[in-house]
Amino acid sequence: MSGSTYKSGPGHSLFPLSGKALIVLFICLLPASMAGQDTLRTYGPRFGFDLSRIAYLFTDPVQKGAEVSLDFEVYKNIYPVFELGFNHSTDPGELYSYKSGGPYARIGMDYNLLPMDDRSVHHTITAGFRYAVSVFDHEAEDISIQGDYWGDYYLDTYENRLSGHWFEIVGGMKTEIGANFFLGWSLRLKILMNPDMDPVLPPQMIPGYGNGSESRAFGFNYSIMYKIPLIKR
Amino acid sequence: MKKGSLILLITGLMLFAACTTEEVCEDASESYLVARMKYIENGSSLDTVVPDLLLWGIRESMPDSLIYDSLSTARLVLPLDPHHNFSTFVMVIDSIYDTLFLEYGVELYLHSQACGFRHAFTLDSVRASGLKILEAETVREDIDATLETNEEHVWLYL
Repeated sequence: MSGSTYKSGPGHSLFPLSGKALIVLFICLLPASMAGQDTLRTYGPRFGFDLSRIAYLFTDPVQKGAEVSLDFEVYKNIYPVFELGFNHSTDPGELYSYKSGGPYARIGMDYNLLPMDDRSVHHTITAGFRYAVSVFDHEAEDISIQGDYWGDYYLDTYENRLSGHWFEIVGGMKTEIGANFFLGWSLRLKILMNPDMDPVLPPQMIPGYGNGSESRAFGFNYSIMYKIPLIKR
Repeated sequence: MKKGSLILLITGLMLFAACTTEEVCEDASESYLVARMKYIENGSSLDTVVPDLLLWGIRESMPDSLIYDSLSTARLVLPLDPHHNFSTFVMVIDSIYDTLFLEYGVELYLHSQACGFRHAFTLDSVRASGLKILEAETVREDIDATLETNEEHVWLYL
């Protein structure tokens, strides 16, 4: 097996969020404005772009990705949500280098907990859930194992295509900062449903999830959104 | 958007990234088979000590190198060859040569991110030439880089 490619058939946490740190973030990320504009309530699909991915480029340049979202208030306070993204990460380690990358998708529902006495108010405080899936490739290169007696062992590449499934509990806020423009954030507790997807090499980065060697992960998004005002009533 | 919010967001993320602790690997890089020396007396299996043991492995394209050099021991700790699915060791006990032949399956696994990869072995068979080791018995098939206290894989009967 030395010096060849190993293909299989079928985590350090890059952002270890502590409880205190999450509370600080929660306070810091309160939406900037609380002013509504419309006198009538508008309904329509709301498209979002995750700005936190831009921050990742500065804080963790080994990760590159983007995420967009779509939600729609189909019934009073109920928002089906669809999120789509991709992520690529590289980690050039001393003992082996690691790469993973691929798309991910989430589908779920948010429920608005904020009372809507004033129909012009479009802000929301939501709680919800997501089911998420990512089909991604990951590989380790330049694997070496020191062998004092039998000699060192080398393997060029180990690679595998995997699919990860996880469930998320989501809480967050959205504020209308201009007509149909929203700014909002969400915090997520992620629960990995198939942590044993690769027994040889647990994925160090599942796109959209995080470190695949951990069965729980935290995440957050900070997004700007635009709602297409299709219906007014 | 308030500029302050974005600055705080980026600062917070940088703080989290900075707080990541560096793991240090303290585990062995090789996987070891542990063999207990035994003898049978009145139908009972008893531990024994081998005096002045010489032991080395037969290595391809490498000179012989003693693992045990005139040591008295009751327990052999032997590194397994990850390049092949077998390892062969020569033992000299009481000036009598014997050969221990081990066959196994080899799999790679990530031990930890700090230590990197290691090999896991599944022991298929253990044989000796019978000149000194009369019988070999496998008591545990799975061998990985984490050697627990009192872990034993093979009993060798003199």
